Amino acid sequence: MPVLPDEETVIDFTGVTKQFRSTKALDKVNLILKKGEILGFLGPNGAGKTTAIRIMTGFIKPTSGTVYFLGKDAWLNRAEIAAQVGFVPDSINTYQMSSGIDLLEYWSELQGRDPVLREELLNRLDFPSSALSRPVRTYSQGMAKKLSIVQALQHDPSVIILDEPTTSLDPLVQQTLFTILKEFKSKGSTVFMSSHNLNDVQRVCDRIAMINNGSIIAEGDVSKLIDNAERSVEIKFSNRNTPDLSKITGVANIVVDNEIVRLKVKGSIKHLLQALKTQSVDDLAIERPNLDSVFLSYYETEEE
Amino acid sequence: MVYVFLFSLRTVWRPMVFVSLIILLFLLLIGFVWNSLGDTLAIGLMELLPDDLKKLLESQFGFMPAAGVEGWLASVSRHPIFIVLFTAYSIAVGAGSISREIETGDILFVLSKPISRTAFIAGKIMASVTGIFILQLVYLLGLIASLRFFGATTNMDLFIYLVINSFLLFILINAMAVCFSAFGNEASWAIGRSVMVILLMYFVDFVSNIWEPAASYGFISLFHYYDPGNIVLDQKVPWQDFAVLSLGSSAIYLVSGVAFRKRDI
Repeated sequence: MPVLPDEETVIDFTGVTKQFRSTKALDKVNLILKKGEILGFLGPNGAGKTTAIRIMTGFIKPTSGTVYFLGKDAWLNRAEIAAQVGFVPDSINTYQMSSGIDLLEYWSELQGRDPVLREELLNRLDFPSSALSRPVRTYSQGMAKKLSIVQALQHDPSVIILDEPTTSLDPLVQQTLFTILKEFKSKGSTVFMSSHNLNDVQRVCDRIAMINNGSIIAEGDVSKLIDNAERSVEIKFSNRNTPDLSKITGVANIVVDNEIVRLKVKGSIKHLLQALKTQSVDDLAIERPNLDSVFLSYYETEEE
Repeated sequence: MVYVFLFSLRTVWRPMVFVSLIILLFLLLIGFVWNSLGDTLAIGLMELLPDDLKKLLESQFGFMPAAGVEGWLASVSRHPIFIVLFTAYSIAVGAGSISREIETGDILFVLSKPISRTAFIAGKIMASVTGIFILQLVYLLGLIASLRFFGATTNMDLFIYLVINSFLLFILINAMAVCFSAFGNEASWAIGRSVMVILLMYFVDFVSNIWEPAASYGFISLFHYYDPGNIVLDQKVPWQDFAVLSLGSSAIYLVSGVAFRKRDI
Protein backbone atom coordinates (compact mmCIF):
# COMPACT_ATOMS: atom_id res chain seq x y z
CA MET A 1 0.00 0.00 0.00
CA PRO A 2 1.66 3.27 -1.05
CA VAL A 3 2.19 5.96 1.55
CA LEU A 4 0.50 9.21 0.62
CA PRO A 5 3.03 12.03 0.31
CA ASP A 6 3.16 14.91 2.76
CA GLU A 7 2.42 18.53 1.85
CA GLU A 8 6.08 19.22 1.12
CA THR A 9 6.24 16.52 -1.54
CA VAL A 10 5.29 17.61 -5.05
CA ILE A 11 6.09 14.43 -6.97
CA ASP A 12 6.50 10.97 -5.46
CA PHE A 13 7.55 8.00 -7.58
CA THR A 14 7.40 4.70 -5.67
CA GLY A 15 8.64 1.54 -7.37
CA VAL A 16 7.65 2.78 -10.81
CA THR A 17 8.24 0.37 -13.67
CA LYS A 18 7.30 0.94 -17.29
CA GLN A 19 7.49 -1.85 -19.80
CA PHE A 20 7.10 -1.15 -23.54
CA ARG A 21 6.70 -4.60 -25.08
CA SER A 22 10.19 -6.11 -24.71
CA THR A 23 11.84 -2.92 -23.43
CA LYS A 24 11.88 -1.95 -19.77
CA ALA A 25 12.06 1.86 -19.93
CA LEU A 26 11.87 2.34 -16.15
CA ASP A 27 12.74 -0.21 -13.51
CA LYS A 28 11.42 0.27 -9.96
CA VAL A 29 12.18 3.97 -9.87
CA ASN A 30 11.83 5.81 -6.56
CA LEU A 31 12.06 9.57 -6.74
CA ILE A 32 10.87 12.50 -4.66
CA LEU A 33 10.56 16.13 -5.71
CA LYS A 34 10.22 18.48 -2.74
CA LYS A 35 8.33 21.74 -2.77
CA GLY A 36 10.45 24.77 -3.66
CA GLU A 37 13.48 22.91 -5.00
CA ILE A 38 15.04 22.67 -8.44
CA LEU A 39 15.75 19.04 -9.26
CA GLY A 40 17.96 18.14 -12.20
CA PHE A 41 17.20 14.84 -13.87
CA LEU A 42 20.33 13.62 -15.59
CA GLY A 43 20.93 10.77 -17.92
CA PRO A 44 22.22 9.87 -21.36
CA ASN A 45 19.87 9.57 -24.33
CA GLY A 46 17.52 6.64 -23.95
CA ALA A 47 18.08 6.38 -20.20
CA GLY A 48 14.37 6.83 -19.37
CA LYS A 49 14.17 10.59 -18.66
CA THR A 50 11.34 11.36 -21.08
CA THR A 51 9.38 8.26 -20.03
CA ALA A 52 9.60 9.37 -16.38
CA ILE A 53 8.46 12.88 -17.31
CA ARG A 54 5.55 11.59 -19.37
CA ILE A 55 4.49 9.39 -16.48
CA MET A 56 4.52 12.30 -14.03
CA THR A 57 2.55 14.48 -16.47
CA GLY A 58 -0.06 11.75 -17.02
CA PHE A 59 0.75 10.97 -20.64
CA ILE A 60 1.91 7.43 -19.85
CA LYS A 61 0.49 4.96 -17.36
CA PRO A 62 3.11 3.10 -15.32
CA THR A 63 3.10 -0.68 -15.63
CA SER A 64 3.54 -0.95 -11.86
CA GLY A 65 4.26 1.34 -8.93
CA THR A 66 2.60 4.60 -7.94
CA VAL A 67 3.11 8.20 -8.97
CA TYR A 68 1.61 10.94 -6.84
CA PHE A 69 1.67 14.51 -8.05
CA LEU A 70 0.58 17.12 -5.50
CA GLY A 71 -0.91 14.28 -3.49
CA LYS A 72 -2.99 12.89 -6.36
CA ASP A 73 -2.53 9.92 -8.63
CA ALA A 74 -0.79 11.36 -11.71
CA TRP A 75 -2.59 9.11 -14.21
CA LEU A 76 -6.11 9.40 -12.83
CA ASN A 77 -6.04 13.15 -12.09
CA ARG A 78 -3.91 14.41 -14.97
CA ALA A 79 -6.20 17.27 -16.05
CA GLU A 80 -6.67 18.51 -12.51
CA ILE A 81 -2.92 18.42 -11.84
CA ALA A 82 -2.16 20.21 -15.13
CA ALA A 83 -3.86 23.35 -13.80
CA GLN A 84 -0.84 23.87 -11.49
CA VAL A 85 1.85 22.87 -13.98
CA GLY A 86 3.88 24.50 -16.73
CA PHE A 87 5.37 21.90 -19.06
CA VAL A 88 8.09 22.33 -21.69
CA PRO A 89 8.15 19.16 -23.83
CA ASP A 90 11.25 17.95 -25.65
CA SER A 91 9.37 18.34 -28.93
CA ILE A 92 9.22 21.75 -30.58
CA ASN A 93 7.46 20.83 -33.82
CA THR A 94 4.25 22.48 -32.79
CA TYR A 95 1.37 23.45 -35.12
CA GLN A 96 3.43 24.64 -38.07
CA MET A 97 0.68 26.53 -39.91
CA SER A 98 -0.41 28.65 -36.93
CA SER A 99 1.20 31.90 -35.84
CA GLY A 100 3.09 32.17 -32.56
CA ILE A 101 0.55 34.52 -31.01
CA ASP A 102 -2.40 32.31 -32.04
CA LEU A 103 -0.75 29.37 -30.32
CA LEU A 104 0.05 31.32 -27.15
CA GLU A 105 -3.59 32.45 -27.04
CA TYR A 106 -4.87 28.93 -27.66
CA TRP A 107 -2.71 27.41 -24.94
CA SER A 108 -3.60 30.19 -22.56
CA GLU A 109 -7.32 29.60 -23.15
CA LEU A 110 -6.83 25.90 -22.48
CA GLN A 111 -4.89 26.71 -19.31
CA GLY A 112 -7.81 28.84 -18.16
CA ARG A 113 -5.56 31.43 -16.52
CA ASP A 114 -4.41 34.85 -17.61
CA PRO A 115 -0.98 34.90 -19.28
CA VAL A 116 0.31 37.39 -16.71
CA LEU A 117 3.98 36.81 -17.50
CA ARG A 118 3.79 36.53 -21.29
CA GLU A 119 5.11 39.96 -22.25
CA GLU A 120 7.90 39.86 -19.69
CA LEU A 121 9.02 36.40 -20.76
CA LEU A 122 8.99 37.27 -24.46
CA ASN A 123 11.16 40.30 -23.74
CA ARG A 124 13.59 38.54 -21.46
CA LEU A 125 14.01 35.58 -23.80
CA ASP A 126 14.65 38.06 -26.60
CA PHE A 127 11.75 36.85 -28.73
CA PRO A 128 11.16 39.43 -31.50
CA SER A 129 7.58 40.71 -31.25
CA SER A 130 7.38 40.95 -35.06
CA ALA A 131 7.82 37.16 -35.27
CA LEU A 132 4.73 36.46 -33.18
CA SER A 133 2.36 37.00 -36.08
CA ARG A 134 4.38 34.73 -38.39
CA PRO A 135 3.59 31.02 -38.88
CA VAL A 136 5.63 28.77 -36.61
CA ARG A 137 7.02 26.93 -39.65
CA THR A 138 9.15 30.02 -40.34
CA TYR A 139 10.74 29.89 -36.86
CA SER A 140 14.24 28.68 -36.14
CA GLN A 141 14.62 25.82 -33.66
CA GLY A 142 15.71 28.32 -31.01
CA MET A 143 12.64 30.53 -31.52
CA ALA A 144 10.30 27.53 -31.37
CA LYS A 145 11.96 26.50 -28.11
CA LYS A 146 11.47 29.99 -26.67
CA LEU A 147 7.78 29.85 -27.63
CA SER A 148 7.55 26.50 -25.87
CA ILE A 149 9.09 27.99 -22.72
CA VAL A 150 6.77 31.02 -22.79
CA GLN A 151 3.64 28.83 -23.13
CA ALA A 152 4.73 26.85 -20.08
CA LEU A 153 5.53 29.79 -17.83
CA GLN A 154 3.16 32.54 -19.00
CA HIS A 155 0.47 31.69 -16.43
CA ASP A 156 2.90 31.71 -13.48
CA PRO A 157 2.71 27.99 -12.60
CA SER A 158 3.58 26.60 -9.19
CA VAL A 159 5.29 23.52 -10.65
CA ILE A 160 7.48 23.65 -13.74
CA ILE A 161 8.57 20.56 -15.65
CA LEU A 162 11.12 20.98 -18.41
CA ASP A 163 12.32 18.23 -20.74
CA GLU A 164 15.71 19.20 -22.19
CA PRO A 165 14.91 22.95 -22.07
CA THR A 166 18.26 24.27 -23.26
CA THR A 167 18.40 22.36 -26.54
CA SER A 168 18.64 24.85 -29.44
CA LEU A 169 19.08 27.87 -27.13
CA ASP A 170 22.18 30.03 -27.35
CA PRO A 171 24.28 30.39 -24.16
CA LEU A 172 22.96 33.88 -23.39
CA VAL A 173 19.34 32.76 -23.51
CA GLN A 174 20.22 29.64 -21.52
CA GLN A 175 21.60 31.89 -18.79
CA THR A 176 18.43 34.01 -18.88
CA LEU A 177 16.29 30.88 -18.59
CA PHE A 178 18.25 29.72 -15.55
CA THR A 179 17.81 33.14 -13.94
CA ILE A 180 14.06 32.95 -14.60
CA LEU A 181 13.89 29.47 -13.09
CA LYS A 182 15.75 30.65 -9.98
CA GLU A 183 13.27 33.54 -9.68
CA PHE A 184 10.39 31.08 -9.85
CA LYS A 185 12.07 29.06 -7.12
CA SER A 186 12.44 32.13 -4.93
CA LYS A 187 8.69 32.72 -5.32
CA GLY A 188 8.06 29.19 -4.02
CA SER A 189 7.66 27.32 -7.30
CA THR A 190 9.12 23.86 -7.78
CA VAL A 191 11.17 22.96 -10.84
CA PHE A 192 11.94 19.58 -12.37
CA MET A 193 14.38 19.75 -15.26
CA SER A 194 15.74 16.90 -17.35
CA SER A 195 18.96 17.31 -19.22
CA HIS A 196 21.94 15.46 -20.56
CA ASN A 197 23.96 18.65 -20.24
CA LEU A 198 25.82 18.50 -16.94
CA ASN A 199 26.75 22.17 -16.93
CA ASP A 200 23.08 23.18 -17.11
CA VAL A 201 22.25 21.14 -14.08
CA GLN A 202 25.25 22.27 -12.07
CA ARG A 203 24.41 25.92 -12.71
CA VAL A 204 20.81 25.86 -11.61
CA CYS A 205 19.84 22.75 -9.63
CA ASP A 206 19.79 22.19 -5.87
CA ARG A 207 19.60 18.46 -6.18
CA ILE A 208 20.10 15.92 -8.91
CA ALA A 209 18.91 12.45 -9.75
CA MET A 210 20.84 10.37 -12.26
CA ILE A 211 19.13 7.76 -14.35
CA ASN A 212 20.63 5.11 -16.57
CA ASN A 213 19.02 2.09 -18.23
CA GLY A 214 15.75 2.96 -16.50
CA SER A 215 17.12 2.96 -12.95
CA ILE A 216 18.09 5.79 -10.64
CA ILE A 217 21.82 5.34 -10.05
CA ALA A 218 22.47 8.36 -7.83
CA GLU A 219 20.47 11.04 -6.10
CA GLY A 220 21.36 13.87 -3.77
CA ASP A 221 22.55 17.45 -3.29
CA VAL A 222 24.83 18.63 -6.07
CA SER A 223 27.57 19.73 -3.63
CA LYS A 224 27.50 16.46 -1.67
CA LEU A 225 27.69 14.37 -4.81
CA ILE A 226 30.66 16.39 -5.98
CA ASP A 227 32.37 16.05 -2.60
CA ASN A 228 31.92 12.30 -2.71
CA ALA A 229 33.05 12.04 -6.29
CA GLU A 230 36.20 10.39 -7.51
CA ARG A 231 39.03 12.87 -8.09
CA SER A 232 42.29 12.45 -10.00
CA VAL A 233 45.50 12.99 -8.08
CA GLU A 234 49.02 13.28 -9.47
CA ILE A 235 51.96 13.03 -7.03
CA LYS A 236 55.58 13.69 -7.93
CA PHE A 237 57.97 12.07 -5.46
CA SER A 238 61.60 13.09 -5.02
CA ASN A 239 62.87 9.72 -6.28
CA ARG A 240 61.75 6.60 -8.08
CA ASN A 241 61.35 4.67 -4.87
CA THR A 242 57.65 5.44 -4.57
CA PRO A 243 55.63 4.17 -1.59
CA ASP A 244 52.77 1.66 -1.82
CA LEU A 245 49.58 3.75 -1.60
CA SER A 246 47.11 0.99 -2.45
CA LYS A 247 46.15 0.33 1.19
CA ILE A 248 44.94 3.90 1.78
CA THR A 249 41.16 4.28 2.11
CA GLY A 250 39.49 5.44 -1.12
CA VAL A 251 42.57 5.12 -3.32
CA ALA A 252 42.29 3.18 -6.59
CA ASN A 253 43.59 2.97 -10.15
CA ILE A 254 47.23 3.60 -9.23
CA VAL A 255 49.57 4.11 -12.17
CA VAL A 256 53.31 4.55 -11.50
CA ASP A 257 55.46 6.35 -14.06
CA ASN A 258 59.03 6.64 -12.64
CA GLU A 259 58.76 9.15 -9.78
CA ILE A 260 55.22 10.21 -10.74
CA VAL A 261 52.18 8.38 -9.35
CA ARG A 262 48.70 8.94 -10.73
CA LEU A 263 45.68 7.66 -8.85
CA LYS A 264 42.01 8.17 -8.13
CA VAL A 265 40.53 8.94 -4.74
CA LYS A 266 36.90 8.42 -3.95
CA GLY A 267 35.42 10.30 -0.99
CA SER A 268 37.59 12.17 1.49
CA ILE A 269 41.18 12.86 0.49
CA LYS A 270 42.41 13.30 4.07
CA HIS A 271 43.69 9.69 4.40
CA LEU A 272 45.96 10.16 1.40
CA LEU A 273 47.25 13.52 2.63
CA GLN A 274 47.96 11.96 6.03
CA ALA A 275 50.01 9.19 4.39
CA LEU A 276 51.96 11.64 2.25
CA LYS A 277 53.12 13.63 5.30
CA THR A 278 55.93 11.13 5.92
CA GLN A 279 56.96 11.03 2.24
CA SER A 280 59.24 13.25 0.24
CA VAL A 281 56.85 14.90 -2.21
CA ASP A 282 58.03 17.43 -4.80
CA ASP A 283 54.61 18.25 -6.30
CA LEU A 284 50.96 17.41 -5.76
CA ALA A 285 48.07 18.11 -8.13
CA ILE A 286 44.47 17.33 -7.13
CA GLU A 287 41.79 17.79 -9.74
CA ARG A 288 38.62 19.31 -8.29
CA PRO A 289 35.73 17.10 -9.35
CA ASN A 290 32.76 18.54 -11.20
CA LEU A 291 29.43 17.08 -12.13
CA ASP A 292 30.93 15.62 -15.30
CA SER A 293 33.21 13.39 -13.30
CA VAL A 294 30.42 12.47 -10.88
CA PHE A 295 28.19 11.52 -13.78
CA LEU A 296 30.89 9.64 -15.65
CA SER A 297 32.01 7.71 -12.58
CA TYR A 298 28.45 6.52 -11.90
CA TYR A 299 27.83 5.88 -15.56
CA GLU A 300 31.03 3.84 -15.97
CA THR A 301 30.26 1.84 -12.84
CA GLU A 302 26.87 0.98 -14.33
CA GLU A 303 28.40 -0.04 -17.64
CA GLU A 304 30.83 -2.37 -15.90
CA MET B 1 -13.57 21.25 -25.66
CA VAL B 2 -14.83 24.42 -27.35
CA TYR B 3 -11.29 25.77 -27.76
CA VAL B 4 -10.03 22.49 -29.25
CA PHE B 5 -13.06 22.46 -31.57
CA LEU B 6 -12.54 26.03 -32.78
CA PHE B 7 -8.79 25.63 -33.16
CA SER B 8 -9.17 22.34 -35.06
CA LEU B 9 -11.77 23.87 -37.35
CA ARG B 10 -9.39 26.72 -38.13
CA THR B 11 -6.70 24.26 -39.19
CA VAL B 12 -8.96 22.55 -41.78
CA TRP B 13 -10.58 25.55 -43.45
CA ARG B 14 -8.16 25.53 -46.40
CA PRO B 15 -8.86 21.94 -47.52
CA MET B 16 -12.56 22.60 -46.85
CA VAL B 17 -12.63 25.57 -49.24
CA PHE B 18 -10.68 23.58 -51.83
CA VAL B 19 -13.02 20.57 -51.68
CA SER B 20 -16.05 22.90 -51.79
CA LEU B 21 -14.84 24.51 -55.01
CA ILE B 22 -14.22 21.13 -56.62
CA ILE B 23 -17.73 20.00 -55.61
CA LEU B 24 -19.34 23.05 -57.18
CA LEU B 25 -17.33 22.73 -60.39
CA PHE B 26 -18.18 19.05 -60.83
CA LEU B 27 -21.86 19.61 -60.11
CA LEU B 28 -21.95 22.21 -62.84
CA LEU B 29 -20.05 19.98 -65.25
CA ILE B 30 -22.23 16.92 -64.58
CA GLY B 31 -25.35 19.06 -64.89
CA PHE B 32 -24.13 20.36 -68.21
CA VAL B 33 -23.42 16.86 -69.57
CA TRP B 34 -26.81 15.57 -68.43
CA ASN B 35 -28.56 18.58 -69.91
CA SER B 36 -26.79 18.08 -73.25
CA LEU B 37 -27.71 14.40 -73.44
CA GLY B 38 -31.29 14.93 -72.35
CA ASP B 39 -33.24 12.53 -70.16
CA THR B 40 -34.69 10.44 -72.95
CA LEU B 41 -31.40 9.85 -74.68
CA ALA B 42 -29.70 8.83 -71.45
CA ILE B 43 -32.47 6.40 -70.56
CA GLY B 44 -32.53 5.15 -74.16
CA LEU B 45 -28.81 4.51 -74.08
CA MET B 46 -29.10 2.60 -70.84
CA GLU B 47 -31.88 0.45 -72.26
CA LEU B 48 -29.66 -0.57 -75.16
CA LEU B 49 -26.94 -1.93 -72.89
CA PRO B 50 -26.68 -5.62 -71.91
CA ASP B 51 -28.09 -6.38 -68.44
CA ASP B 52 -24.70 -7.12 -66.83
CA LEU B 53 -23.19 -3.88 -68.06
CA LYS B 54 -26.27 -2.00 -66.89
CA LYS B 55 -25.85 -3.48 -63.41
CA LEU B 56 -22.20 -2.52 -63.42
CA LEU B 57 -22.96 1.07 -64.34
CA GLU B 58 -25.76 1.31 -61.83
CA SER B 59 -23.52 0.00 -59.10
CA GLN B 60 -20.45 2.02 -59.95
CA PHE B 61 -21.86 5.29 -61.17
CA GLY B 62 -25.41 5.25 -59.85
CA PHE B 63 -26.90 5.28 -63.37
CA MET B 64 -30.48 4.21 -63.08
CA PRO B 65 -33.45 3.86 -65.33
CA ALA B 66 -35.28 6.84 -63.87
CA ALA B 67 -36.22 9.67 -66.12
CA GLY B 68 -35.88 13.39 -65.47
CA VAL B 69 -34.31 15.23 -62.64
CA GLU B 70 -34.67 12.33 -60.20
CA GLY B 71 -32.43 10.17 -62.39
CA TRP B 72 -29.88 12.94 -62.50
CA LEU B 73 -29.99 13.35 -58.72
CA ALA B 74 -29.46 9.65 -58.10
CA SER B 75 -26.58 9.47 -60.57
CA VAL B 76 -24.83 12.51 -59.15
CA SER B 77 -25.23 11.30 -55.56
CA ARG B 78 -23.49 8.02 -56.35
CA HIS B 79 -20.96 9.54 -58.75
CA PRO B 80 -17.40 8.33 -57.94
CA ILE B 81 -15.96 11.85 -57.90
CA PHE B 82 -18.14 12.83 -54.95
CA ILE B 83 -17.64 9.50 -53.19
CA VAL B 84 -13.87 9.91 -53.56
CA LEU B 85 -13.84 13.59 -52.53
CA PHE B 86 -15.96 13.17 -49.43
CA THR B 87 -14.22 9.94 -48.45
CA ALA B 88 -10.79 11.51 -48.83
CA TYR B 89 -11.78 14.51 -46.73
CA SER B 90 -13.46 12.39 -44.03
CA ILE B 91 -10.45 10.07 -43.75
CA ALA B 92 -7.82 12.81 -43.88
CA VAL B 93 -9.48 14.89 -41.17
CA GLY B 94 -10.37 11.89 -39.00
CA ALA B 95 -7.09 10.02 -39.29
CA GLY B 96 -5.07 13.13 -38.60
CA SER B 97 -7.13 14.23 -35.62
CA ILE B 98 -5.09 12.39 -32.98
CA SER B 99 -2.27 10.39 -34.52
CA ARG B 100 -0.87 13.38 -36.42
CA GLU B 101 -0.80 15.37 -33.16
CA ILE B 102 1.03 12.52 -31.47
CA GLU B 103 3.43 12.20 -34.40
CA THR B 104 4.35 15.89 -34.33
CA GLY B 105 4.27 16.23 -30.55
CA ASP B 106 1.56 18.92 -30.68
CA ILE B 107 -0.57 16.88 -28.31
CA LEU B 108 2.01 17.30 -25.53
CA PHE B 109 1.35 21.04 -25.49
CA VAL B 110 -2.42 20.62 -25.44
CA LEU B 111 -2.80 17.78 -22.95
CA SER B 112 -0.36 19.37 -20.53
CA LYS B 113 -3.15 21.90 -19.96
CA PRO B 114 -6.12 21.20 -17.69
CA ILE B 115 -8.22 19.55 -20.37
CA SER B 116 -9.39 15.96 -20.20
CA ARG B 117 -8.70 13.55 -23.02
CA THR B 118 -12.45 13.09 -23.43
CA ALA B 119 -12.89 16.82 -24.01
CA PHE B 120 -9.96 16.81 -26.42
CA ILE B 121 -11.28 13.98 -28.61
CA ALA B 122 -14.82 15.37 -28.40
CA GLY B 123 -13.53 18.71 -29.72
CA LYS B 124 -11.71 16.92 -32.53
CA ILE B 125 -14.80 14.87 -33.47
CA MET B 126 -16.99 17.98 -33.40
CA ALA B 127 -14.59 19.75 -35.76
CA SER B 128 -14.61 16.76 -38.15
CA VAL B 129 -18.40 16.50 -38.09
CA THR B 130 -18.79 20.25 -38.62
CA GLY B 131 -16.39 20.14 -41.59
CA ILE B 132 -18.31 17.28 -43.20
CA PHE B 133 -21.60 19.06 -42.50
CA ILE B 134 -20.37 22.23 -44.19
CA LEU B 135 -19.23 20.22 -47.24
CA GLN B 136 -22.61 18.50 -47.44
CA LEU B 137 -24.29 21.89 -47.22
CA VAL B 138 -22.15 23.13 -50.10
CA TYR B 139 -23.07 19.96 -51.98
CA LEU B 140 -26.79 20.51 -51.33
CA LEU B 141 -26.65 24.15 -52.40
CA GLY B 142 -24.61 23.13 -55.45
CA LEU B 143 -27.21 20.52 -56.44
CA ILE B 144 -30.01 23.06 -56.15
CA ALA B 145 -28.05 25.73 -57.99
CA SER B 146 -27.10 23.32 -60.78
CA LEU B 147 -30.74 22.28 -61.28
CA ARG B 148 -31.91 25.90 -61.29
CA PHE B 149 -29.17 26.77 -63.75
CA PHE B 150 -30.61 24.28 -66.23
CA GLY B 151 -34.19 25.30 -65.46
CA ALA B 152 -35.23 22.01 -63.80
CA THR B 153 -37.27 21.54 -60.62
CA THR B 154 -38.08 18.61 -58.35
CA ASN B 155 -39.35 17.65 -54.92
CA MET B 156 -37.09 19.48 -52.39
CA ASP B 157 -37.51 16.69 -49.82
CA LEU B 158 -35.49 14.38 -52.05
CA PHE B 159 -32.49 16.69 -51.80
CA ILE B 160 -32.71 16.66 -48.04
CA TYR B 161 -32.99 12.84 -47.80
CA LEU B 162 -30.06 12.36 -50.16
CA VAL B 163 -27.82 14.84 -48.38
CA ILE B 164 -28.66 13.48 -44.91
CA ASN B 165 -27.90 9.96 -46.15
CA SER B 166 -24.62 11.16 -47.65
CA PHE B 167 -23.74 13.12 -44.47
CA LEU B 168 -24.33 10.06 -42.26
CA LEU B 169 -22.28 7.81 -44.56
CA PHE B 170 -19.26 10.11 -44.43
CA ILE B 171 -19.61 10.62 -40.69
CA LEU B 172 -19.31 6.84 -40.33
CA ILE B 173 -16.22 6.84 -42.57
CA ASN B 174 -14.81 9.66 -40.44
CA ALA B 175 -15.57 7.71 -37.25
CA MET B 176 -13.54 4.77 -38.56
CA ALA B 177 -10.62 7.05 -39.36
CA VAL B 178 -10.82 8.71 -35.91
CA CYS B 179 -10.82 5.24 -34.35
CA PHE B 180 -7.65 4.21 -36.17
CA SER B 181 -6.19 7.58 -35.23
CA ALA B 182 -6.98 7.00 -31.55
CA PHE B 183 -4.99 3.77 -31.60
CA GLY B 184 -2.08 4.88 -33.80
CA ASN B 185 1.02 7.02 -33.40
CA GLU B 186 1.35 8.10 -37.03
CA ALA B 187 -1.17 9.72 -39.35
CA SER B 188 0.03 7.67 -42.33
CA TRP B 189 -0.69 4.45 -40.42
CA ALA B 190 -4.23 5.61 -39.58
CA ILE B 191 -4.88 6.80 -43.14
CA GLY B 192 -3.55 3.54 -44.59
CA ARG B 193 -5.78 1.37 -42.38
CA SER B 194 -8.83 3.56 -43.02
CA VAL B 195 -8.36 3.49 -46.79
CA MET B 196 -7.90 -0.28 -46.70
CA VAL B 197 -11.15 -0.84 -44.78
CA ILE B 198 -13.15 1.60 -46.93
CA LEU B 199 -11.89 0.08 -50.18
CA LEU B 200 -12.74 -3.38 -48.88
CA MET B 201 -16.26 -2.22 -47.99
CA TYR B 202 -16.72 -0.54 -51.36
CA PHE B 203 -15.63 -3.76 -53.03
CA VAL B 204 -18.08 -5.84 -50.97
CA ASP B 205 -20.91 -3.47 -51.87
CA PHE B 206 -19.90 -3.51 -55.53
CA VAL B 207 -19.76 -7.33 -55.74
CA SER B 208 -23.02 -7.74 -53.83
CA ASN B 209 -24.72 -5.44 -56.35
CA ILE B 210 -23.51 -7.14 -59.51
CA TRP B 211 -23.27 -10.78 -58.42
CA GLU B 212 -26.45 -12.44 -57.24
CA PRO B 213 -24.85 -15.05 -54.89
CA ALA B 214 -23.09 -12.25 -52.99
CA ALA B 215 -26.19 -10.08 -52.65
CA SER B 216 -26.99 -11.31 -49.14
CA TYR B 217 -23.55 -10.16 -47.87
CA GLY B 218 -24.02 -6.55 -48.92
CA PHE B 219 -25.18 -5.52 -45.45
CA ILE B 220 -21.57 -5.86 -44.20
CA SER B 221 -20.57 -2.80 -46.18
CA LEU B 222 -21.42 0.71 -45.01
CA PHE B 223 -22.07 1.68 -48.67
CA HIS B 224 -25.04 -0.70 -48.58
CA TYR B 225 -26.79 1.94 -46.45
CA TYR B 226 -26.35 4.65 -49.04
CA ASP B 227 -28.65 4.03 -51.97
CA PRO B 228 -29.71 7.25 -53.77
CA GLY B 229 -31.48 5.20 -56.45
CA ASN B 230 -33.92 3.77 -53.91
CA ILE B 231 -34.50 7.18 -52.32
CA VAL B 232 -35.56 8.80 -55.60
CA LEU B 233 -37.65 5.80 -56.64
CA ASP B 234 -39.43 5.34 -53.28
CA GLN B 235 -39.49 9.06 -52.43
CA LYS B 236 -39.42 8.05 -48.73
CA VAL B 237 -37.10 8.69 -45.80
CA PRO B 238 -34.68 5.71 -45.57
CA TRP B 239 -35.01 5.46 -41.79
CA GLN B 240 -33.30 2.10 -41.55
CA ASP B 241 -30.21 3.31 -43.40
CA PHE B 242 -30.13 6.48 -41.31
CA ALA B 243 -30.35 4.44 -38.11
CA VAL B 244 -27.59 1.99 -39.05
CA LEU B 245 -25.21 4.74 -40.12
CA SER B 246 -25.93 6.91 -37.04
CA LEU B 247 -25.64 4.09 -34.54
CA GLY B 248 -22.52 2.77 -36.25
CA SER B 249 -20.72 6.09 -36.14
CA SER B 250 -21.80 6.81 -32.53
CA ALA B 251 -20.51 3.41 -31.40
CA ILE B 252 -17.19 3.84 -33.21
CA TYR B 253 -16.68 7.37 -31.85
CA LEU B 254 -17.36 5.98 -28.38
CA VAL B 255 -14.80 3.20 -28.82
CA SER B 256 -12.28 5.81 -30.04
CA GLY B 257 -12.86 7.93 -26.95
CA VAL B 258 -12.43 5.01 -24.56
CA ALA B 259 -9.27 3.81 -26.35
CA PHE B 260 -7.78 7.30 -26.37
CA ARG B 261 -8.40 7.78 -22.64
CA LYS B 262 -6.55 4.57 -21.81
CA ARG B 263 -3.58 4.75 -24.15
CA ASP B 264 -0.03 5.98 -23.57
CA ILE B 265 1.14 9.07 -25.44
